[in-house]
Amino acid sequence: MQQDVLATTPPLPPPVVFAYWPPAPPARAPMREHRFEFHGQAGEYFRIWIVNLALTLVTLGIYSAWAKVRSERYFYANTRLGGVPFEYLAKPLPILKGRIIAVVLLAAYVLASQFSVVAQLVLVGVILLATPWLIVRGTAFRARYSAWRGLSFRFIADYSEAYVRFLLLLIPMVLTLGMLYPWLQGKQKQFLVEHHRFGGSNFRFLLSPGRFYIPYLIAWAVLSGAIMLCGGLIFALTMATVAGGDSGSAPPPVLLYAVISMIYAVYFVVWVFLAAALVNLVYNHVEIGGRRLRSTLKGQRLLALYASNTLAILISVGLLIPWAKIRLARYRAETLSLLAADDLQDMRAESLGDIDATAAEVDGLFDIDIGL
Amino acid sequence: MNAFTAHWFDGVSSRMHAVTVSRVGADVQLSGDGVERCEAHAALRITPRLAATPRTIHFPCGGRVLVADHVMLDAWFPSEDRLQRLVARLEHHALAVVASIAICISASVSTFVWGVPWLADRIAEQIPPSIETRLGDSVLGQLDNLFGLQPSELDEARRTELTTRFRKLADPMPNGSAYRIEFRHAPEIGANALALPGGIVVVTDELTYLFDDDREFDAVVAHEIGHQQERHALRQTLRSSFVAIVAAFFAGDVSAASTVVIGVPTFLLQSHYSRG
Repeated sequence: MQQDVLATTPPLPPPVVFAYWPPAPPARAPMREHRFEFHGQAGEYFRIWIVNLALTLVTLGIYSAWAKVRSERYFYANTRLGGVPFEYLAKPLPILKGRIIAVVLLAAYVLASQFSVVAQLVLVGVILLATPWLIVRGTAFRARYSAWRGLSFRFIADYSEAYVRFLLLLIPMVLTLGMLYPWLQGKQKQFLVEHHRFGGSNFRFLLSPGRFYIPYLIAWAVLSGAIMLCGGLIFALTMATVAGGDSGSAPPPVLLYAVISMIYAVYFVVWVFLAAALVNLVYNHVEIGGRRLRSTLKGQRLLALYASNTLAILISVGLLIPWAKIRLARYRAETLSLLAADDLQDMRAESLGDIDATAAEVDGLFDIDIGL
Repeated sequence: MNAFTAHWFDGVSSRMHAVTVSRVGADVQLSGDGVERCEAHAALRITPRLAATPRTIHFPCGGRVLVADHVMLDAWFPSEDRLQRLVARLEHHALAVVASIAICISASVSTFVWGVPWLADRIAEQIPPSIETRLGDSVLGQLDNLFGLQPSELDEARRTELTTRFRKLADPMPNGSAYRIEFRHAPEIGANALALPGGIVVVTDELTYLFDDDREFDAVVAHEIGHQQERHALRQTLRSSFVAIVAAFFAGDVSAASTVVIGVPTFLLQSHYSRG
């Protein structure tokens, strides 16, 4: 049963009872399902979105930082876990700073490409070297400014490990022609999950990165099967045209286009099913202080959602983007829940004492969010 | 009544307390569910209004009150974040929403009508002729494949005759000596002449059959040379690439960007630079 904090008064905490027998081990305790819910309305969000967009255009992009905060706050505040909404606490100015840096880098890259190849290569190197650092900073920023029940999330910045997983391991991946890609994806997800903390507990990732091969191999098999089928189809068409005694040796372009769009359609379907499988795989193996997440995304539902969203956005020349985002957020929340033996009332804040001083200083200097 | 019910989180534990929040002079008091707290009103910060979402009153100790939005909060915190107050009012007004839609639509229309062509033309000016020639060759290859263009069936003498007429028109033009003419047998697209990037002019055999007088050939070819002088083919290719990239960006599927290459030949046939 769900309670809505804003409508009902929660029950009093249970009185403390001193038991004479030892408490049952926590693993035995029955797990209760705490559901995620999303209460956003497309009409409501449309107003926020369109005013954001217009103000961003009028201010030549400067307002985009405020726009981002309002939009994020809307999605956080309308997402509830066990009836309690999430909070997005970031301030617009650090986001504006991050965006200015990103725009300057992009402009420098475009300008450098005009003048010298060396300058361009140096800039590519700088961006490549900065990527792991940016991933850590961005994730830490988001974690710090995400809160639930008055407690903030935390991301423990481990730069050396980030450089290994987001840069160094790219070398063997390229050398093996991408055969390590699923494993590397697993390693990266593991890193991102395990460095998060909430309520006094580390996030744990109960999956070895090798397990990522299963969905990727299935997707690869389906995709190559489909491409082989389409290739065969093109071949058959060509043969049929030749055998038909036509003067031309190539099949009619309309049929070629049909086959090509079929390949794209298969690619889209496989991509959606793979995305659903990967999200479920990751979320279903996250543990937070004995509590577990459960994600039940269905590839079919997601496919219908993505396809109808894309169609609606195209037909409405973009005006239905808010509606599409709200639908997606609602489905995401519907299929996510937290399994916990307790009532989630006794989690503790992350103490700030265990962040070392230098990290805190760097935090102050580079309080940026690069995410667009 | 200068009080409301809300939920209190102390920022140290995840426990939720149902409390009554009341205003006593310059102080705000919390009471209920084991909480008794008093804080100077001036030390509190409230999150800006955002649709119907709950608002949070932050206490200096890190604790916070979560409360459903209510007009009373405006009276309590009259000077909080003026910018976002204004934005919240805009979001609420139907007229402001309509104006926003108008701004967004006119901005995107003018981007497509003026912004994209302007940017494409600036880039076209920067592209060196060698790259343009390579682009032209690859477009010609795609045309051959997609529209079943075949080697010309005109005899050698006729081709030489027409090429000479072409040279006589092209060579005097600036850069004209780099232009070249290609003849193709085109059962599928029929009589047509095309200007491709890099100074390539394609004339189909079917078109040459229509000429009663080779001065008609001169007229057609002069028209295509005009396209070349203005680099219309390159500019149009760049424009349509931008349109596809922007469209792909909004559709959220960047893989669609790879269809740009396939899109080029069709755009050449349909574009408003082409001989309608």
